[in-house]
Amino acid sequence: MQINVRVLLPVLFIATFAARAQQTAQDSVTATKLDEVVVTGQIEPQSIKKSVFNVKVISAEDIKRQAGNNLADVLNQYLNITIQPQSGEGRSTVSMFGLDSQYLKVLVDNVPLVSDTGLGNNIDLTQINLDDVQQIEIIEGSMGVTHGANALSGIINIITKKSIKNKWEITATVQEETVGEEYSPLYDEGRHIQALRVAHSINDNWFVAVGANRNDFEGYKGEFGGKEFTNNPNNPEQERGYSWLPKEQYFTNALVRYQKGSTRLFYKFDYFNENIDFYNSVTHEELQDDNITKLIYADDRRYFTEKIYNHLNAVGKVFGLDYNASVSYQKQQRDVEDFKYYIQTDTELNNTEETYQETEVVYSTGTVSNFFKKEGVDLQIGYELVNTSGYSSALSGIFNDDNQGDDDHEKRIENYDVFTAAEINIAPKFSIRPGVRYSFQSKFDDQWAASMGFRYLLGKGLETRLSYGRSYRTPNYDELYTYLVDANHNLQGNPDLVPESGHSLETSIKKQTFFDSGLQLSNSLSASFISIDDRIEQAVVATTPSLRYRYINISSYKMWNIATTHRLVYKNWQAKLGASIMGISRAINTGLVTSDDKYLINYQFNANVGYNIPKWNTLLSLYYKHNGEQQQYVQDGSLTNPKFILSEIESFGLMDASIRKSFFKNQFDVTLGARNLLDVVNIQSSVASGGTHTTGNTNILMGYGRSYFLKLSYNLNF
Amino acid sequence: MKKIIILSFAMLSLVACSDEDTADNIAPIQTISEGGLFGTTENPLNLGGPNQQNQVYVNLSEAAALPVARESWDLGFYSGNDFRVVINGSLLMAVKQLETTDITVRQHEDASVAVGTFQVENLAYVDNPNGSLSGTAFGTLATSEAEAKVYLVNLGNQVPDTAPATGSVNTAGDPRGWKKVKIWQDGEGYKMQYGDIDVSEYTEVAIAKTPGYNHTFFSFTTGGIVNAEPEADKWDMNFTTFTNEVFDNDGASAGAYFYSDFIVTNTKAGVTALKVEGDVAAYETFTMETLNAGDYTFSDDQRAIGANWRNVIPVEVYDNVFFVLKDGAGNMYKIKFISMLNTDGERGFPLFQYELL
Repeated sequence: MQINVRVLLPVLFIATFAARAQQTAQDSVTATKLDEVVVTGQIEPQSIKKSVFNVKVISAEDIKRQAGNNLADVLNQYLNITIQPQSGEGRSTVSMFGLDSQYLKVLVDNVPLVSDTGLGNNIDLTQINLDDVQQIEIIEGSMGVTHGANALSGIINIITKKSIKNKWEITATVQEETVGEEYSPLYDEGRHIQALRVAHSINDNWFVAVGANRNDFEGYKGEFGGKEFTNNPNNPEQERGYSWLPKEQYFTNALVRYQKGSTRLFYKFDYFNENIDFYNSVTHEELQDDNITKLIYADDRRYFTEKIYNHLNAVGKVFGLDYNASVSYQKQQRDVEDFKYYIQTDTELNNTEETYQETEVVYSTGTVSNFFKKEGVDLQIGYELVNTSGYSSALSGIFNDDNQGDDDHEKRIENYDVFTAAEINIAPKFSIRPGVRYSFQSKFDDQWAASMGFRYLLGKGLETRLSYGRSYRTPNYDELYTYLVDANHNLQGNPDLVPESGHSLETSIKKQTFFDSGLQLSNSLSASFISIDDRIEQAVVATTPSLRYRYINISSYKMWNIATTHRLVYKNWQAKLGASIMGISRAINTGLVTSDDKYLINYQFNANVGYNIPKWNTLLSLYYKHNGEQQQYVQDGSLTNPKFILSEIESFGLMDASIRKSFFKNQFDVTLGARNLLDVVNIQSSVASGGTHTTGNTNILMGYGRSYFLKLSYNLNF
Repeated sequence: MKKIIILSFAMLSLVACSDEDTADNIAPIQTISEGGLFGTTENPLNLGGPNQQNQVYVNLSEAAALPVARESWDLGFYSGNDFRVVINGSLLMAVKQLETTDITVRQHEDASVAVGTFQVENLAYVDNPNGSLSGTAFGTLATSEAEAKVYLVNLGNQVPDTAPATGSVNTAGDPRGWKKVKIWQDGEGYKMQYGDIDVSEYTEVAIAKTPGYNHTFFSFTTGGIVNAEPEADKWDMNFTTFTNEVFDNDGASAGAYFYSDFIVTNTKAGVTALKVEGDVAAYETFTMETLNAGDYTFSDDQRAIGANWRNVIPVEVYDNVFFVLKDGAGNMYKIKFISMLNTDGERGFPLFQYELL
C-alpha cells in the first residue's frame, strides 16, 4: 500500500491555496523577539542579555515552523548537536560536541527527566513531546554546579507553558507525514499524529491544561523487507525487518497552576506509553511434528515503555527570601515481549514477557536566594536529592554468569548534593558568578563541581562572557556490570570505576544592533574547550593467558570549538546563519594501543530563512544544516597487533522546508512541508571496524529520506 | 488509561482496515518429500542440548547415530599404519613438548598452553584442525623410552551441566587440571608414562592398536582403554565441540579457538565432503549429473562441513548452502541443514535432511 507522493503532493498544494481568498488582514506571525527571558542556570528568571551563561533558545515559533512533534524533529538543525538513531532499539539519542547522550542532561522545567537507564541522560528524544513547550533552552558546557551529575557537554532544559493569554485555548492537530517514500493515509505506512490540547484560565489564580498526543510512526523499511517477508537466499541483499522500527506513542499530560502574589505553585503530570515493534532480520526454518512441513519463523520482539512524570513546584517568598522548590517522582519501565513469529501462517508462539529496563526516581531540588537586599548581589543556596532505583535485565546488555546464564542487575544510587552560586554585579556592566557543588554519593566517591562566570557589557549592544565549569559523569550499567566470560572470551565490567571528570571553558561575544530602518541584527562569536580525563574505555588489561577486556578509567577527550551565529530580522524577513568548527582529540587507550591524540577537525554550518507574507497570512521557512566530513580513529581488525586507523565519515546536509498558512482569523493553521529534502538515509564511513564476530559496516543510519508532511491545526481561543 | 486515549483518538481519525497484499515476499510453505532426517524425535542425534556433552557419530548408510560422552576420553592412539596420538580437542585440551625426558621431574602449569589465548603460538599445542595426522601436537613419536620427551598436558575444561540462557551454549566448564605424559612407539603398539605434574610418581601403560578402528582411546580418569568411537567404516560425520583455528578481521591467525556446533568428517576413513552454494530448490534438483557436470572438488579437510553450515552470532543456519558427502565406500549423499535449535529455542539440537545421490 504505497501512495505515490508525487501524485499526492499537488493535491495538497491545491487544497492549501484554494482557500487563499479567505485571507485575513491580521498579521498572524508574531514579531520575533531578540531578547528572551530565560530560566536555565539563573538565580531568578531574567533577560537573556543579563544571563552570565550563554543561553541558546529554541522558541515555540521555531518548533512550529519545523512542525516538530518531538525533540528529535527539531534538534537536528542546531549547531554542535547530532541526533543518533539507534535502529536496534528504536531510540534516537543526542550527541553534543561529539560526546554522546551520557554527557548531556535533558531537563523538563529544571527537573532532569527519567530515561530507560538513568536520570537526565541517555534520553530517547522521540519520547519528548513538544505540544506544551514554551521554549527550549540550551546551555553548552559543563553545568555541574546547578544541574549535578552528567551535565558535562551541556544541558537542554525544556520549559513548558504555565499560562495562556486567553480564557480558553483549545488546539486540535492532525499531522500526516510520509516516511521517505513510504506512506498510506491515516494508518499502515508513514507517520500519523493526532493531538488535542485544552488550556483554561479559571481565574487570576488558577490555570489548568490537559493534552494528549498520539504519534503513530509506522517505521521505515528502506532496503529491508518489512514484517511479512521471508529472506530469500537468492536475493541476500534484502533482509526482513525495518531500517527504522515502527513505534506507536501516546503522550498525555495535565498541569494545574496556582498563582497568588509572589507565590506560584504548579503540579504537572505526564503519562507516556510506547510500543516498538522489532522484526528480526534473521529467519529460521523449523520442521514441524509431521516431519514433512517446514515453516519459517523469526524471533521478534515488542518493547512496551511506560513513563510517569510527576512534578510539584513552588516558587515564592518566605522570611524575605525567594525560594524555588521542586519534588518529582518519575518512573520509566520498558518491558519486552519475545516471541516466535511464523511468517507464512501469521501466528505467534512462545510469547514471554519480562521487564527489560526500569528506572524509578525520587527527586527533589530547591534553592533559596535574595539574601542581600542590596542591588547587584545575589546569592543562591540549593540542594538536590536524587534517589534512583534501576533494573537492567540480562537481555539489555551482556550480563551473563559463569555458565552463560542470564544475570539481571538491580541497583540503587543515591546522591545528596548541596550547591551555592552567587551573582555579583561588580559594576553595572560587569557581573561575576562563582558557584560550587558538593555531592554525597552512595555508590561512588563523593563528587564536586565548580563554576565561574563573567559577563561584561561593553556598551553599544556588545556583551562578552567567559565561563568555566567542572563536572563529572557517573558510570553506566554496561561499564559496571558487563560480564562475558566463556571458553574464548573475557570481557568484564568494573564495579570499581570512578566517575569521569571534565572541565569546560567558554567565551563569547555577542552584539545586538537595532537600526532605524527596523533592521535588527544579532551577531555572536564563541569559543569553547572541553576536556575529560579518566574516560571509561573497554580496554585490554591482560594478554595472557588470554585477552582480558575490562572497563577502566583510561582514555581522555579534548575538544575545542569556535562558533559564530548571525541573526537578522527585517520587515517580513528573518534569517539565521551559523557556522562552527570543532577539533576533537581522543586518546583512546585500549590497553594494547593508544590512538593518535591529534585534533581532528570538522565543521558545521546552518541557516534558516523565514519570510512572512502578511497579505496571505503565510509563513515560508527553510532550514538547512550541513555537517562536514568527520574523522575519527578506529581500531583495525587485528586482535593481537591492533592499530588505530583514520576513518572518514562523509559530509551530509539536512534541509527542511515548510509553508504555514492561517485561515479564519488564525483559527485554522495549515502547514505543508518537507523534511530531509536532500534525501539522506545512510552516510558512509570509509573504514570498517569490528570485533571477532562482527563484520564491518560502512553505513551509518542518519535519516529515512525525503519526507513530506501536512499539518492541520485548529485553534479555538476565547 | 490507554483505552480511553485510543477512544478519543478514534474520534479524531478515521481508521480503516485492509488486507495487506504482501504474499509476494513470503516463500511458500515447503515440505520434505524425499530422503532421510536426523535430529527428529524418531531419529534423534542426542548432542545433549546447550552443554553439548556428547560427540555424535553419524552413519548415513545405516541411518544410525551414536552419542559418546566427550569427556570419556583424553588421548587417541592411532590404529592405522602410523604411530600418532591425538588429543581431545572437544575438551579444549592442549599439550606442549618439554625439554626433559625425565617423567619424574615435577612440572608447572603454563597458562600459554591453552585454547582461546588469541596467541598464534598456541596452534603448536593443539592438533592441526584439518585432521591430518602429520599435524598432531604430540608430533612424531620417539621409538624408545630414552628418546621420548615429556609433554605438559592441559586437560582442558569439564563439560558443564548448567543450562545457559536460551539460545546460548555453555560448553566449557571448570578446568580439568594438568598431567605430564611421555609416549613412545613400542613394537606394534605404544607405551605411555603419565602422572600428576607436581609429583614424581608416574604410571606406565602399554596401549595396543585396535584393528578396524581409527584410534585406541585412553582416559586418565579411568586409567584405562575406553571405547569412544564406532568402527572406522561405521561413521561418516561427527557432531562435536571442536578446537579450531580463528582469524581476526584482518585475516591474521589468532590461534586456537573453541567452537560449538561443529561437524567433523571421518577423513581418516576416507570420507570427504564439499560445500555447494544454493537454496532448497538447488538442493532438491541436485543429482549425480549436477555433481559431475559442475566444478566440484571433495575436500579431505575434516572441517569441510565444519562450521560452514551455521552462524552463532546471530544464531542462524545458512539457507544458501548444502553439502555433498562421499563416504568411505564411495556413496554420495547430499545433506542440507534445517535448524540448530529445538522448538524452545535451545541450542544443541541440529536437524538435517539427506539423500543418497
